[in-house]
Amino acid sequence: MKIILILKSILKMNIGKPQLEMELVEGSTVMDAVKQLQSEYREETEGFLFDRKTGDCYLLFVVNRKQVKSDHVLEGDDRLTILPPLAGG
Amino acid sequence: MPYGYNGKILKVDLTTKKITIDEHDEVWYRTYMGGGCLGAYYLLNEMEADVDPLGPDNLLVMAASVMTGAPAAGVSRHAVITKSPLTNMFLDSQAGGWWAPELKFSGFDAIVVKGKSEKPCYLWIKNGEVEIKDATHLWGKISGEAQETIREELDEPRARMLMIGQAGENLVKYACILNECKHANGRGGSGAVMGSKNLKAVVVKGDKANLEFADKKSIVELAKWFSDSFMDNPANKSGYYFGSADYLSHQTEWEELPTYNFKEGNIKDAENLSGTTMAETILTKRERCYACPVTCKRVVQTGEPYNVDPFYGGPEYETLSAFGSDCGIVDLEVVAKANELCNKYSLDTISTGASIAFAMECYENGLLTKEDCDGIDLKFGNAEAVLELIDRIAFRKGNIGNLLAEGTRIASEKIGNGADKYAIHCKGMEVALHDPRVKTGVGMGYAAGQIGGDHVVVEHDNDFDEFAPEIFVEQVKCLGILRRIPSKNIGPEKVRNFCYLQNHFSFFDSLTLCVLTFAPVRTFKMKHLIKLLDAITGWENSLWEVMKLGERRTNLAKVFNYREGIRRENDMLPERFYEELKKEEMDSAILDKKEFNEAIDLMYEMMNWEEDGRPRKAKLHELDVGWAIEKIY
Repeated sequence: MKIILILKSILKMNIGKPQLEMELVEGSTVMDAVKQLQSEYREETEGFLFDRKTGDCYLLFVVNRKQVKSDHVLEGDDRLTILPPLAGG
Repeated sequence: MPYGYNGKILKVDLTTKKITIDEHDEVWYRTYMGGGCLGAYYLLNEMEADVDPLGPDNLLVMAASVMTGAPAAGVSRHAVITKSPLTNMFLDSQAGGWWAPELKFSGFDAIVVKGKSEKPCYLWIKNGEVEIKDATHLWGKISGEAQETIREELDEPRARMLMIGQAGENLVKYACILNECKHANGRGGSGAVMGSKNLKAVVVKGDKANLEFADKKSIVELAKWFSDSFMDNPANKSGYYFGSADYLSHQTEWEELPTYNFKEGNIKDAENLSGTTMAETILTKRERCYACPVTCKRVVQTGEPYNVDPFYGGPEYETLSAFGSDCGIVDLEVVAKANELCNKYSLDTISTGASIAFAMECYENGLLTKEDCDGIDLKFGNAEAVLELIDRIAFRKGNIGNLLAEGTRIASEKIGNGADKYAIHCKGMEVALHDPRVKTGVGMGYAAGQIGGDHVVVEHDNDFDEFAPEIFVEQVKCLGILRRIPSKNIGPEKVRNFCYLQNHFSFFDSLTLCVLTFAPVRTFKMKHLIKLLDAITGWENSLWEVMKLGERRTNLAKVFNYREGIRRENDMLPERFYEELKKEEMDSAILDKKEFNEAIDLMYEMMNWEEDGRPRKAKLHELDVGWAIEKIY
């Protein structure tokens, strides 16, 4: 299935596009998409998707304008936005 | 010689030109430590109730803390504490930059100014020597011009100064104080207080060697650790590349971006205002505060038609939303120009943008005519109108400029005909650009905090909700916050969180710490903070002690406000926030008024305040400020 990945902040800066298409197997989760992004854009996502020391993921996820957790199961044509964890200005 | 601080507070009476120095003992410094807590001590002890905020009897306190000036991240800030002309309440407004460390190097921990100079003046403080100098030739100059003139005439190119522009001189109720013409003590009108004293600037210079530390080796080790680690913290990393502006992308994604005076939650092409867009287009430089590698400050420049001058920095998230979406504008260059003008004239960008948005809604609803607006077509989205109005407000020019210079509370009273429903303020201070319908803790801070519409009363709700990164939730556990709570929750568990987090940020405001550096969501954990405090002062401190410091500051501010007549019925949100925030694609948000008020009542009980807001005698004794009892009993 195809999903659209909306890129903002550091991802947009490093990858150089506002969005990209991603091919995933049926039943993939948000975390699966993140790992695939890391493998497809290893250099551009270095140090952003996963903490260098702990390997944890500290990001926020929005699917079709609804905030979700990393275990959310994606469906075809979903729009996934990945954001750094900011709460205020 | 104490460690970390000078043991000297400079006091200047501009009426009599008398200069004195207060010297307090170590117990006093350990009780108040600096910033807002030190300021509250002076405001309560050396000022009577009901003083005119723009009169000579109002005190203007500029305070660093016992930590300021150490060569480490996040300890370069100061507070300005006074009675606010916008709210007639306690004001503690904080700023970063370079002034506060230089104040400490110059030999003083704080400055207390009272009275009014006969003629415009500035204070010049160098290595313990103090002069009151003539500023007649500087009055009427924009901040940058005045700053460079002072540096030249003193032959001190690295002197640091707190400065006002024409908005301060003209007593605009939300005029701010600036250092380096871009770091603002933004909220509440401290710039007008300075202007009311005919005080143009406070200039400081000193030798670093004047300040001694208990354990410099440990300070340097902690500073190095931070420098090596901060880019692994996702919030700090984003801040480095995009500043606070990065948050705008979140707001648009969640449809929570204050738009058209908080009527809506998003606007088409809002991404034009984002940090990413700024980095791709007008950003020329990233700048930092003293000794800090986070480098969260923006510097921008544009060509025609706005020719934005990089000398005045660049817009933060609050400014982008205030002059952007809240006024119906999605042109980044317009907002950059608005930011530049506010820094030239010394205007708070939040209150200025909010006042213009208020006026726009009044105009679109027929409460203000074009004639009332001096011929300006004050519709949402009119960029030229926004820039024109900033000018008019700073100089109190014409009907609309003079009206809006008073703030939305007074402006709405003068307009009448129901204009008050468009005035989005708490106790007179325009609220910051975060919606309480989606962040109830922030809403409690607006309604029941001690400053007014201040968004830095507590760490924001979504840092501890069901989606927050595990690292944030882990790092806050040492405050006793052990469970994730949804951002829109307003039950007892959220109120408890609010009380704990309020004490936390309140001690930050006493130690004048930068929230972008310390936990719960940034790189330095609480244990690092205490280690740093110990290494600077030589005290054996604890998180418990500094949380009590925060509670002390909050209660002293509450005593001040109670003495000024603030009661429980004043702790409320504007009615707009009880209307539904409708979203196009996301679930709408609604805040129940009854539930919110019950939360405030419960907070009072948790804080050990009486029903009308008076802190109980036992609480004041417990906080070792029993002397404050006679101020309100």
